[in-house]
Amino acid sequence: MSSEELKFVNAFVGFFIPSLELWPAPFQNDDFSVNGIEYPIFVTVGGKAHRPTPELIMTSGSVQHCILLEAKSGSASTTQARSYAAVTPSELVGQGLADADVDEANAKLDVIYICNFKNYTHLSADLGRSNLEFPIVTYGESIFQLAEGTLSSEKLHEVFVMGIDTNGQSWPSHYVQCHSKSDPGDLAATVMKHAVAQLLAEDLIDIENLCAVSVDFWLKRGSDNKKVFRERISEILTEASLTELQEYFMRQNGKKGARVWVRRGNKKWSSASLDKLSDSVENFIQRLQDEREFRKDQPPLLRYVDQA
Amino acid sequence: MSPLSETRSEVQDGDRNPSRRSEMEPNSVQDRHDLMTFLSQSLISEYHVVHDDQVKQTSTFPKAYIVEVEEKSRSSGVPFWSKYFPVVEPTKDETLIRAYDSKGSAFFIDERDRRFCLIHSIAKTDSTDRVVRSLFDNSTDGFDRAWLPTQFLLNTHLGYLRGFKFAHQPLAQGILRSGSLQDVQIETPQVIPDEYFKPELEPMLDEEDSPIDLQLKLGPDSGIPVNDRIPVSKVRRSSLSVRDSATAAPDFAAILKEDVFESRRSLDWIQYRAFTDRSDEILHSVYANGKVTASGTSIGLHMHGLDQIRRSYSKDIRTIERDYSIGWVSTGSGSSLKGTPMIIRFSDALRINDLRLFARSIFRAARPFRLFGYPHSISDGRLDVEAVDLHTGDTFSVELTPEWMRIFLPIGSCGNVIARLLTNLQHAMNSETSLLGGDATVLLIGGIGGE
Repeated sequence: MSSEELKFVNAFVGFFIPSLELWPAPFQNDDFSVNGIEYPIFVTVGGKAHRPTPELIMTSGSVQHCILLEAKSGSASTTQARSYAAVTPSELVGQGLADADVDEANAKLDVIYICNFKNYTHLSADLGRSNLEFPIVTYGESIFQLAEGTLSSEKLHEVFVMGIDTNGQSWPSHYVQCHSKSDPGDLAATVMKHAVAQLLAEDLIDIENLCAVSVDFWLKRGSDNKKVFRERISEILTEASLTELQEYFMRQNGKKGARVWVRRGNKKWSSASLDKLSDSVENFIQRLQDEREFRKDQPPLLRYVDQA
Repeated sequence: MSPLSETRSEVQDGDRNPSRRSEMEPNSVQDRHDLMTFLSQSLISEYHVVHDDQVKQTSTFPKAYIVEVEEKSRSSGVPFWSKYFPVVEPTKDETLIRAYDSKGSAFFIDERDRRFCLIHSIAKTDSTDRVVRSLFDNSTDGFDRAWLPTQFLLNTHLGYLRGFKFAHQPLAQGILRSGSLQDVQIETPQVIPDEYFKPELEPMLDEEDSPIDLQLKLGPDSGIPVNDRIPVSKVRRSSLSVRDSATAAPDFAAILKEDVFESRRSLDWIQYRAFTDRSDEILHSVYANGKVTASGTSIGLHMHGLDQIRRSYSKDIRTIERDYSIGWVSTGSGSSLKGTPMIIRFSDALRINDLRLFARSIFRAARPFRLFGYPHSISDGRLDVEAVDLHTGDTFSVELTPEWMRIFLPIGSCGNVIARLLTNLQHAMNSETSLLGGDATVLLIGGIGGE
């Protein structure tokens, strides 16, 4: 998931959770819950195992409906499309990815592709090559709308055909706060909040605790995924401890590989020192977010080199 | 602490006997019945003659503080409270603890609800306020006050309205307020002449000359942006109070109808007088910071009223935590995202013209908000704040625009932070500020009715 894909995930989750009139929630009474974020579903296609990993899995026992959301900011592969076509409610129920009330025999399932309107033609063409039909919801001019395909839920279909008009200023950003491909600029705000909380409470920051509270759905993530997060969050802390926040914490014992950061000094916190800490954290996050924006503007190859 | 007389005076005729002079001492209190007897001694403030022409106040009205103690790392009873009081003693009732401060003033801690405790005392207010404040200021054990927003205080309904006080301290910065000074064009707020702050009302009447006690002080408010990081103590308060049984209710209604004190009508305290057909009587003053004082003839009515407020507050906080926090919950074989955000709506009567400055003034790690936070993802008309509650260490997130604040309180976090945020926004920003659940339920409005 890119930042844009994460935005779509939050927007979509927001359609199911009431938030006054700030963000439309036409499905708030359908009792959907989010059962998975970037969680692989194991299926067999032509005798071969596949593990499509949608950005979002939502299910509802009340309306017997399952939704897999695949957010796209680039192209879609035929292999992935075929593996999605093989997913049924049975896989979700069997793999613990559905509400307990979902009846695998009767529930309906939709795989929804969602993208920015400017990417629609490209995505539609990609999916067309797989000879499979998936509903594609696009976002453009503040409206989420069904651009092609059919949704098996009459209500969902009608609502998305009509289009869901949104206000960009009210776009929710905190239902799902990070993902496995999050840029440090995306992750830093959440990570630093929990790091500061640990620092204030215990005078140390433990990477395992930090991951558990910073990463959505941590316990259900696979070991590879967890490893990626540990590395990235370690990088953020290392960067912080060497730059804007160097006067506040450092790796334990100064060891390079240590996964625990400890507070520098033992002066009692005061309002003034906390204010200063707050300024430093804000500056650090702002820098990482500026760097993220800078990378976005680079040609793809340079972006790759920079990230590497 | 020397043992003193253990003479017990019985609570007679219900609990009504204001004229008796009991000699009961704090160390005689062993149960709730004793506590009521002990507190009832002070329902009418007592004095004794020291010299021919001098009197000394021997006790002050009973007062109680509703205190939230985070349960996560909470041990029980005497060992726990011994960290905060030099002398702590058990009573025969294990949910009632006696404690003394360093000056020997007695406090009684009612732990029937281990999370929302009541701390009773008849010592002087200066002393009790200081002791209770020290719990919040010096502790990392998750102590907090009960923060009672204006609508909650109004819905307390402990009797007939007898008095009220609106208080406003414009701690929130980055705001342009409409109101009496909205048309005054000021470009350099640091040099505003005093005449801009003249009160619109006539000079207040002296309490001795009139049954009306009307006080009005206007601070440097109303449309004037304040410089960043002004120390809290330097931000002046404005307040308006009425204390008169005959006029409090009509005065209150009249003020609400008019422009008087508009947008600054956050209650600092409210007074109710209650009485029974047997002439039991109590006057309660309920403060926004969770303090309740009482005077009158019936300690029973006092204890009953206190319990009602505590239960109502506890219910509101637990509702927030149960229905309006958000996060991953275990659902049998997996986990599922559950919950709903909350929204604080700002009044139309103000305009936040500097969102970042506003955010920094709220999340500035200082009293009264006690929130550490930093803005990020700043764009035109919107920013996000990641915050840490300095009372508990719990984290939460906020999305902020000039019109509203959307709060994501993680499951398992203490909901008291929301009461603190709302109550102080009402006092620091605008009294019309309200809290709603995403489903449009108005939250933290109290209402007596039990759990």
